[in-house]
Amino acid sequence: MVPVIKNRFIFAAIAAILISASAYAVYAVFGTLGSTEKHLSAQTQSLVIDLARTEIHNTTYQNAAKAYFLNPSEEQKAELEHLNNVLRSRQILIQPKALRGHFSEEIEKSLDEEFRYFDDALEQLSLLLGKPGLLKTEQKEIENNLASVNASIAYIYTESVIAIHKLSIQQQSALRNLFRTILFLSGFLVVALLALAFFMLKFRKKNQQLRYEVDVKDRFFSIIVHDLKGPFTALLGMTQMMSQLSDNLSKEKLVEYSSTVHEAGEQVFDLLKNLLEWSRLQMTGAKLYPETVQLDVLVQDSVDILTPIATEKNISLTTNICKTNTFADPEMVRTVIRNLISNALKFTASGGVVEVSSFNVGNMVQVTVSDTGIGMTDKQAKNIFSLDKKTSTPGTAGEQGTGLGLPLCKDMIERNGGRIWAKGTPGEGAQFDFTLPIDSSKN
Amino acid sequence: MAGSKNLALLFASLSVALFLCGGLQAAEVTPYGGDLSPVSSAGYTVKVHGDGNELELSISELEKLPLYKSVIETNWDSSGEFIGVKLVDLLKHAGITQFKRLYVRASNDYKVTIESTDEGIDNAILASRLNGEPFSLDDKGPFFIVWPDQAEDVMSGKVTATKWAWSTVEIQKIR
Repeated sequence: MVPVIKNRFIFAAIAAILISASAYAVYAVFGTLGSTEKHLSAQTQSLVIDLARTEIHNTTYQNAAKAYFLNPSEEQKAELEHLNNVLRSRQILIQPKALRGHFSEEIEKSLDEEFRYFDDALEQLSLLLGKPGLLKTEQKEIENNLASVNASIAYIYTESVIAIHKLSIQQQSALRNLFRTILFLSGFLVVALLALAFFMLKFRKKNQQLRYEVDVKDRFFSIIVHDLKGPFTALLGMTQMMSQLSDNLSKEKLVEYSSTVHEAGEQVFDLLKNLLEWSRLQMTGAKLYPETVQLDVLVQDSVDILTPIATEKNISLTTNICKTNTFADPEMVRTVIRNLISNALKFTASGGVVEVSSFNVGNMVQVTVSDTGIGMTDKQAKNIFSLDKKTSTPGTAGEQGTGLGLPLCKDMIERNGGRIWAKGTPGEGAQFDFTLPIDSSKN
Repeated sequence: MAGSKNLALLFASLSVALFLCGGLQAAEVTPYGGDLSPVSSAGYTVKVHGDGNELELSISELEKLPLYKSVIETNWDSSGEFIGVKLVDLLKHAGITQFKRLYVRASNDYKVTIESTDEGIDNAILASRLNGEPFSLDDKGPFFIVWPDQAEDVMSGKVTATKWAWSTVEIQKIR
């Protein structure tokens, strides 16, 4: 569960980062768009203001020139010369330098020509003003020159506004393209990350599966090394002793040694059965053969087989099973019930009680095997079904286990659509529960 | 049979759609043949000068020249059928047969230049009326230079409306 939560957290974090990045990109592009608009509009405004100021100067000049024609005086002349200088200095201001490069070549040429006209007109005015008396034709020329200056200003204004508009359209389109590219890249990034997350999860799952399989194999080795060694030591030792001391052995000793050999043989046989069953289940494609199973009959069969052991240990083995049909593989259910009852008998001391009962919960039947044995802690109950963590505990009469029984039960129950769990109190007893689906067609 | 009928209908609708889309590119300019209500010429005059000629035309004098109409949707509060004389006709009438640049002045002191190379110059109209009525002198009157060929691009923002000079009172040939 922990790795899943961790993955979800990482995924949520990546998603949040991507969403924020995209939002920021949108904000940045629109911000740039806005600032470009503002910049262009500021440029237009300042140009228009400069042009208007120049025009006002020109009009003032025109009026001053008219006044001078009517009443030529040194003062008026000085004023005209001053206005002339101001107009000439404004020429620099009204040159839309920031826009150079955005006009067509033809318009660039035309603008240069316009500034020359502007300059020539003012130059001419200076020359005419320097003359002692002005003829009517010269006055007319001055008026024409001033009109020409106004037309030049209008031309500069017109072309600048058009160039700024074109520039604004170009920049908007460039920004729109940039925005599209960012969106496309973000989309691509999201898809790539999703694919990566998918493969990471798949890899992690595969990795977990592989680790589990390695653990299972380790456990197999451990069982083979430790659990097989014990009984074989007894087998070899006892049989050697029996062959060496055959002449001097009393009948009682022979019975004692041969029963030890028999027990060791049974232990090896049990282990072998579990190992075979386990490896069969582990093989890919191990088939399930489910059918309608009469649970009470099946439990009674197992109880009948195990009653001699219970009697031998002076344990009361009772059943309280309702008549329910379940739909499962009978061999597997039989193995589970037998394992759980023999486990209960193993860990219950003389005089104790082992009870097998069942009841229906919705569409499932729940079977309980409880005992008054040595019990277990919560931690033990939690790990008892996992193959990689469990170690076998000897029974109350020193019975040896393989450590394979309960993991085997878990696997079998889950394969049949059920669930298994355990609980207990140290010194008071343990309880194992499992569920199986009810065969509704036969009940 | 029904299928071919549907197909024919589809083609017909597509053709109409294409025709309509094509029609949106520029506003059509056609000669105007209707009657116009008389208007007092006070304030409704335009000065046209260049090449040593100078002409001051009143609205009634102007409307004696060949008139054209064009239906234009604008972004301002003036949309509909614009009626007036073609700029090139007006210049010819004033004795200006060719030009490179015009200087246009409006009553609100707006000044702009027009080039002979400007797109749609042959169809540019000095409009004296909108939907049969003269423009108010406070709003776009006396005359409004409209560019039917640029209408679509101007309204979509592709082209600036700098040369759509309203309240025009003077047109001067500079070059």
